[in-house]
Amino acid sequence: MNLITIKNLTSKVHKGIDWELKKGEFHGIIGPSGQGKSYFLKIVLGILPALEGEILGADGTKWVSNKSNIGVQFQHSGLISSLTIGQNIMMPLRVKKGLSLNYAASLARFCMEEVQLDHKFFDFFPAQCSGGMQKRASLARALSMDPDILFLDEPTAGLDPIVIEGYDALLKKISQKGTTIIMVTHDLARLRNLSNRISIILDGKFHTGSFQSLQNSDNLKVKEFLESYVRTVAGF
Amino acid sequence: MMTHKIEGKFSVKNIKQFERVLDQIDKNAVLVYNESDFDQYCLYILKDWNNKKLFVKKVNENEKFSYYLKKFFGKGSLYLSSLIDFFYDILRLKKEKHQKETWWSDVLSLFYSFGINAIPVVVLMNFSLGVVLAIQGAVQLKSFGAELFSVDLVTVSFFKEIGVLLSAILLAARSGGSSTSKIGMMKVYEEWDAIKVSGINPNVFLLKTRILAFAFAMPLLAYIANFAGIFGGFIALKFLIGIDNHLFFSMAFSNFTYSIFFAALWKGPCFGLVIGLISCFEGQKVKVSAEEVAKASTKGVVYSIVCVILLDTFFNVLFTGIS
Repeated sequence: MNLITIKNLTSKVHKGIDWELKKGEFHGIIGPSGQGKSYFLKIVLGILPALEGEILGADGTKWVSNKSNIGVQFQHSGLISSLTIGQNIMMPLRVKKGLSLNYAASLARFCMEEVQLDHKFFDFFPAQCSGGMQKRASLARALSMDPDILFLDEPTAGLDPIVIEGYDALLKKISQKGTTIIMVTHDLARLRNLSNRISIILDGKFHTGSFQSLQNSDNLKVKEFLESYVRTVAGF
Repeated sequence: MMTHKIEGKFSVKNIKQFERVLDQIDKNAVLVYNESDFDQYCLYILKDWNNKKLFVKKVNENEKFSYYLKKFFGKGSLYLSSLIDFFYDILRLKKEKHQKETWWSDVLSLFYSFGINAIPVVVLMNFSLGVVLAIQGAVQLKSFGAELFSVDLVTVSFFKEIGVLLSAILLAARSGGSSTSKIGMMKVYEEWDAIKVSGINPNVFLLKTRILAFAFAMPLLAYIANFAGIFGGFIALKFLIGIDNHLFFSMAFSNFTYSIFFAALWKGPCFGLVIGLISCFEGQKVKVSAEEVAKASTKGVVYSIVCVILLDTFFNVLFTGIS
């Protein structure tokens, strides 16, 4: 079953993309810089407009992100600087689910435990936390609603390898629970381990498939992209 | 790739007009449009991207106003028309399903930050200006033996104009600038997007609350400014011409007609709305970089002050004409 189906999506950089997100899959999006990976995610989320095309939900009607049960982790973490970490995590719970303060706070603490974030950071402001802590807090907020789809936009950019390893283990755990995950990243090695399907964005077009099928693809550009990755990334 | 010269808004009666426009520019370009979208006499926007495709998009309902204003009054009115569109957009905002109409607790905390926290600087500025006005008035009027009338000069000037105008300028510089940069930075660091995907309309959550807080803070600051200015005038005249306390205040209060005393009560919210609107408008235009934030803050403060002064001039001309 497709949770999201995109037909003929055209924007400044995308050219007639047809794409689908299957229920329960871990879908990775990768491509060279400036090809519109984050842009694509923002179009799907309804933050930026597309010039043409339609985005349909599981029931075949127009998919509206803020009416669906989703969690988003943005590239810059997107934590509201005037709210504490706890208030940030509680925000969707209070606003979207209308939970009481105490219940939302206990759920927020539970989410913090899930992402291995100490409770002492609950009353810290984002500026008082390190980059890694902010990313974890952002993931905790995304997970707080127990989302059907988790959108991750370069979630581990700028983090050290040990933190990334822990983060990947966490994502695996979330994925195994049945949450559909879509992750934009530059790290093909991680995507190979984590994702069921990968979409490579090249010249405004998507090339989607499993890692093996993409490796065996006849498309020269896809082959070239994967080979250049193998050449440059050590230990791949 | 085609040039971007043909990008713009066109009011056309049929698709043939579009095709003629396109034909003149690039004969190989393709016009992409949705037949069912095409209503007669509607406004459309032409967007040209790559691959020699020209996309025809219907103009939003709220964009029409700016188009017509621009058409009738020329390019100079573009900013004003966009601002009016933005105001119209804010007014008819629809809340999301679970969203409260307005966050009154946020309005209150912003009112505290814009209004209460600004009191010391407003008092200091207006007190000083009151002293200056009283001294200059007394010195000039002394040659006519009418230095006592500087009491009227200070009182009427402050209550009618200076108090509310100076408070507005201070509010625009202090809180307007900070609001623009805050909203801008929220856009740069994706906080705005995070609020949006959380199911909260950021325009209501961030902008409407701010605009209301500006409108509520202005009358408070204006009255405090008025009294601080008069007190400054009193102190100056006390030392300069040794005016009696009772005489000063009886002369000052004798000037208070309804129109003078309540001027700040209606001018204040108007100026507050203008400052709030311009600050938020400039802030939400920021897209990706910190450089844009700096430019937006400068623009926000300058445009707010200019618009407040122009609006005050307009009110003066209008009400003097009426009376």
